[in-house]
Formats: sequence, C-alpha cells, structure tokens
Amino acid sequence: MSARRLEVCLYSSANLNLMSGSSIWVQSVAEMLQAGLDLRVTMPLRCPERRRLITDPLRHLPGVDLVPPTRLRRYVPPTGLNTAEALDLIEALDRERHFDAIILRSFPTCRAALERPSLRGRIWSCYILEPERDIEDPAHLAELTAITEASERVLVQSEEMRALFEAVVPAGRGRTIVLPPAIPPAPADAAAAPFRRRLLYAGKFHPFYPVERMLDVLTILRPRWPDLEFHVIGDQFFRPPGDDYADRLEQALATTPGVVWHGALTRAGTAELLAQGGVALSLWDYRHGSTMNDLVVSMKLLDYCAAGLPVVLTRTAAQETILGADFPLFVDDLDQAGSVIERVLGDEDLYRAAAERCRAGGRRFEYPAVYAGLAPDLEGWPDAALRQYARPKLDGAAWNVGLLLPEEAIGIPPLALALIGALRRRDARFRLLVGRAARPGAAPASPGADPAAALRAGLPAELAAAVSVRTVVDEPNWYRTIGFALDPGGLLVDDLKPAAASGAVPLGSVDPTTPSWALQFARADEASLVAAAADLVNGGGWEGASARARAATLTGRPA
Amino acid sequence: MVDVARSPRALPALPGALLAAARLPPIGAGLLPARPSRSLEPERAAARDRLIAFDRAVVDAARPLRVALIADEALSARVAATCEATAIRPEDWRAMLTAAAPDVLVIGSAWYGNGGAWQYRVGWYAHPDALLLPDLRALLAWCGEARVPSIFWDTGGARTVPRFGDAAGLCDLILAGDPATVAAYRALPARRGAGVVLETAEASGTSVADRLRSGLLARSEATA
Repeated sequence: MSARRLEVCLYSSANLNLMSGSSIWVQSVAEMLQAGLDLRVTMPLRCPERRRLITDPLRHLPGVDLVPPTRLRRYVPPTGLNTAEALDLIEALDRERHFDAIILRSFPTCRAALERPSLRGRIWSCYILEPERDIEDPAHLAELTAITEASERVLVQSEEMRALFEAVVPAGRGRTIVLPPAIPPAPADAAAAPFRRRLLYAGKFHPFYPVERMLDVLTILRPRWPDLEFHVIGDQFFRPPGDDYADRLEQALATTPGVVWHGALTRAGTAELLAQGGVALSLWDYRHGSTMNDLVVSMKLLDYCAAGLPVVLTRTAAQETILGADFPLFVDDLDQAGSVIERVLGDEDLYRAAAERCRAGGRRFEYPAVYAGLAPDLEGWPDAALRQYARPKLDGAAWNVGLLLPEEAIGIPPLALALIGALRRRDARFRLLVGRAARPGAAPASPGADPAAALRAGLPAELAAAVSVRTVVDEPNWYRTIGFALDPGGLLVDDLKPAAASGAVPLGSVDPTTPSWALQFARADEASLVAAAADLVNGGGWEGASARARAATLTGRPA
Repeated sequence: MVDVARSPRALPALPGALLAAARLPPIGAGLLPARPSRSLEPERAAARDRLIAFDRAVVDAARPLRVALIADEALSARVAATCEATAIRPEDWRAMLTAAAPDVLVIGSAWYGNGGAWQYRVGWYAHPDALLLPDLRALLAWCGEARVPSIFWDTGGARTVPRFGDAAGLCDLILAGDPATVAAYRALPARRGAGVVLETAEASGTSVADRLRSGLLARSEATA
C-alpha cells in the first residue's frame, strides 16, 4: 500500500434527511473512519439535502466530503437517485479519486454494483445478509455468492452474523470483516448516568419495537410513581398499507399521561438527553421481525450504553455477548418486561450496577476499537490475512486439542494419542480434534461419509470416543473449536502461525526450527506437555496463554 | 399529565413540502420484517407418516428397538439399558446406518453428543457448524428418505429451548419433561415435526423402550 492518503468511498441508500438507524449508522461509520491516520471519506448522497440533522455533523468532520446527488445531474427529485444513478456517481468519483475501498451498504446496491466492471472485485459489500430476505432460497443464495465473489471484502455486523454469513455463503470465508456499529469514545473515567426514575426510548416506530407495550408499562407504573415519565425520541413511523398502526401510536404518544415525545433529535442531542439518566428500553417483538435480528448489534443499545444508562432489553445471542449472559435486565419474554422495569426503577443499586455493566459493554464499540478491526485490511497491514483466524473461541474449546494433518495422512500419530490419553487421565474433558487439511477451494466432505474417517483405523477402543476427525475446508472456523494446536513432530514451525493467531496455544516440543515467537510455548517432552496443558486449563492460565499466542503472531501496523 | 407542550404534534404547522419531505417513506419495503413464510405442512405430513408407521411396527415387536443415538451420558445410559443403541458420529454415520437401518433416531439435547463427537453441532452456537446444523440436516434427510422417524429428547428444560430449538424443530417429534418446556417447543415458529409429547418425571422411571413403544404420535395428538 502506498503512503498516499487513503481514499474511501462510503455509500448507503439511506435517506439522510430522515433520522433512522440506517442514517445514524452512516454517520457513525464516517465518524469512526476519522480514527484512521490519513484518510478521506467521500460520501455520495442519494437524496438532496432537506434536513441537516445528519449531514451537518458530517460536514464538520475534517476528513469527510459530502457529494450531493446534483453532482450527477442538475435536478434530482426528493426521492433521490435510483441505484444505477448512484453507481454512476460513484464511478465518476472513482475516476477522480481512485478509491482504495468502496464501502456499499445493502444487498440491492451491492447486487447492482456487480454489473459495473470498474467496481467488480473492489467492493467492500456491507450488511448484505438482510433479515427480510430468505436465506433458504437458492436464488437468493446465488446472488449473495455472486456479490461475495465480486467483493474485495464483506463487512458483517457482528461475529454472530459472520458465522451465519459464512455458513450460508462459503465463498465469503476468508474475506469477511466484522464492522459493528460504532459509538463516540467516552473518557476513561466517565461516570454512568445519574439515577433518575424515568423511561427512555430512541428509535423507529415499528411493531418489532413494541412501543405500545412500553406505554402500557408506563401506565401501570404511574400509580406507584406518579411523576414517572417516558421520554421518546424519533419520528419515523412504519406505515403498512391498510393498518392504522402509525396513527394509533402517534395518538397514544400524544395523549398518554407521562409521555414526553421529543420527535427527531440529532445524535448529539439524543446523547445529551440520555445522559440525564433513566431506564432505557430496547425490547423486540418477534411476531413482527426475523429472529436473524438476534445476531445483530443494535445501534440503539450502543447509544444507551454510551450514555451509561441501564437498559432493559430482549435477550439475544449478540446482546449476551456485549453485556454477559448474567446481565440482570434481560427479558426472555415480553411479558416479563413490566416487572423488570419496575424492579430497576425501584432499586437504585441495581440501576447503578446495570448502568456500569452497559457502559463497560459498550467500550469495545467506541470509534478507535471499531476502527482497529478495519485498519489491517484498509491500511494493508502485512498480517491482515492472518487476522482472519483471530476470532473468538467457542465455549469449551479450551479442552479441545487440535491436530491438523496433511490431506495425505493415513493415521493419527501415536504421540498425539499418547498425549490425549495422558491428558484425559488428568481431566476427562480433554478431547482430540483431528483435522484433515483440504486443498484450497475444496468442497466440504459429504456429511456422514467424510474421507477423514479413515484416520480412525486402529484407534484404541478406550480413546475412540475422545477423538473426532473431519476434513477441514474452513480453517478459521475450525480453529474456533480448539484450545491447543498440537504438533506431535516436535516442529513448532511457522505453519503454526494461523493456529496461534486463532488463540490456540501451541503444544509441541522444542526443535532447532522452532521460531523465536513460539519458544515460550515449547516443552521438552511429552510429560511436560501434558502437565503444561492441563495446568493452563485447570489453573486458569489458558486465556492468558491464548492471548500471548495471538500477540506473538499478529504483529500489527508496520512501522 | 400529558406533556403536550413538548410533543412534536404541538409544533407549529410546517410548510406542506417540508412536512412531506420529513415523512418520505424509508428505503426498502419495510423495517425488520419476518422472513418470507414457507408452508411446513408437507414436512409435517411426512413426519406424521413416519411416526404412524413406526408406532404400528414397534408396539408389539418382540425384538429390541434399534436406536441410532446422539446424546450425552445420562440419556445414552437410559437408552442403552433397554434398546440396541448405536452411537453415531458426524464423519461416518452413513455407512453404519446403511448397513443396519435403525428403527428410530433419537437426538438428545446434547452439549457434547456421544462423548464430544457432536459438540457444537446440536446446540446453538455462533458458528457455521451450529447455525444451520448442516450435519444434523444431512442425517435427518437420510432418515427421512429411509423412513426412519426422528425424535428429539429434551432433558434440559425450558431454559435451554433457545439453545436446542433449531435442532428440535427439525425432528419428527419432540419429547419434553414438563409442560413449560412442551409449550416452548410447541411455540417454535419453524417446527417441522408432527408434535411435542410430555414425558413426565414419573414416566422417566419406565424403560426408554416402553416409552418409545407407547404410541408416540397418538400421545402427541391427544395433548396438542
């Protein structure tokens, strides 16, 4: 990568005149990219500016250049450019600025970009797995695959979405990057929001976000706390044809005692209001939305976390990852929401503890942390490819010893079996996961008839249940299942770098070829290896060793 | 008290064009809609057919029930006590089952499954092996073609339904130990099986073979 300024194009079809999650996302990405060293973000706008709640803050960012749609032609209607026209504008800008990365958000935009030869292979397609589309539809899968193959990178919202994307679009393996929503950095000593007995909601009005149920909770709780208020921010209503949902809700917002409806605010204005304290609500009603939303990191949640608010929210996989499964304000069922809200409003200690947890959970979504996930690929770091392996381990992976054998291997090395046998005598949770390497691009083995099963021949009966074998066509995800990477040949060579980058602790004896980064993990003999592995897992040192393995191999931004 | 003064409804009327711009419809058809619904009836009917055939065939069978099994230790031990159980593995079940087709496939709410062979391939994890359950789906497809019914046997209770709901929903029948868990499984939107049966704690003292021979489909339909 040259030393010149990086040129990034960021385009979303969101109408930035509207305050919505999609338009706030655009703002947050542009702000996050400011964490880059020397970078200009060119942002073609789909719609003419009519309202500046989003665009004014963007305009004040030093590295951002907003390009109005009228750059393409003189008159653009309020509905803005169509997709083809937007791509025309992007191509014209690309000819001038020679973009290093072209970030396009949404499936339709990326699908249309495939047809542009100048963009093929250069797109950073973003959030193309959309909940409203059927991932079991072969035609849709073919389109996702086509977009992926024409993309330099595929940006996904969360580690959970990455897993789903790579499950349904194998072509995406090796080119996905996690780009979660980003929030502004707060000072390290920033206090959580003060205790205040009021409720808060900021976002769209759609049945998936059951604001009407929240109003019911307010009404139920007002007799106990007559001064209880519900502050509502937002003005974007879902208006399904033939349904008076929007009118009904507007009426309720305007007439329910205790409601303070602020309409649309800027992101900064919203942050200011939230910072005054209260209990934030992020509840979902799955009767009106896909469970794929479970895998999404909610911008709304992060904004609440940034303000240091306690949040009552629906339990989902992605949200458990952020706040911890034991976060006390998770709601498993919407019917529980009222009692959880009442509990936190009536218990200041719980309020403060939950607020602190939210503040801490949001930290890793602050601009510098999010940019750090993007920087290796954007700036062309030498270890960018290796970072594909640096993914979270699955629960229980620490007890799994991985052994990746070449495709032509005909058996499991006796030393590996001896080692796993010895480890299991100390702790029966240890298992040996044998992978048989596949050629790049090889198809997955047929389920139930994996050629790797031949490696089981001659396996001692007492170890049969403790050994799994499989053909590995997706190494980064296979490494997520193992805690140790065994090299029974005693050759801790650089071949182990992907394993170590994954956080698998290298397990092998020292050898003249052992690279210096791996010396700290080498042991003299089998007994020492067994003792080291068992002690690390059961003595609580495994996580530290895993982090050291990663740090030894991921060298970071070149000097 | 309604804080009308601070409600956007109370703002001075905006010029019509500006108001229209502020209310432009969002891009795309809608916000976070559910995935397109697809009828699961053909799959449920096929599951029912398999269970009818199974119930007829095994009620009075003299020989031991042949069970292909994926389970953790406790359920494995219970099944093996009265059935001819074969613990299968993801890498080589096809040859084993083709050589000797089982009467039924039993999948437990297994974290490890047969000593770890099915770890991350039955329960929910954010991992490609778990999210779409490719191994279980292939096994269940084989069973469907071979007319071998599949039974998901929950031993974790209602709290673990979110973890095992996807796997359970692929099976022909679900057994669960208490009414709350039965209700949670019945509520799964993508359940492709024929029903959910309550297996009470009292019944857990009887043999698995007897439970499997108890007319599962009829019990399911009697309590649906």
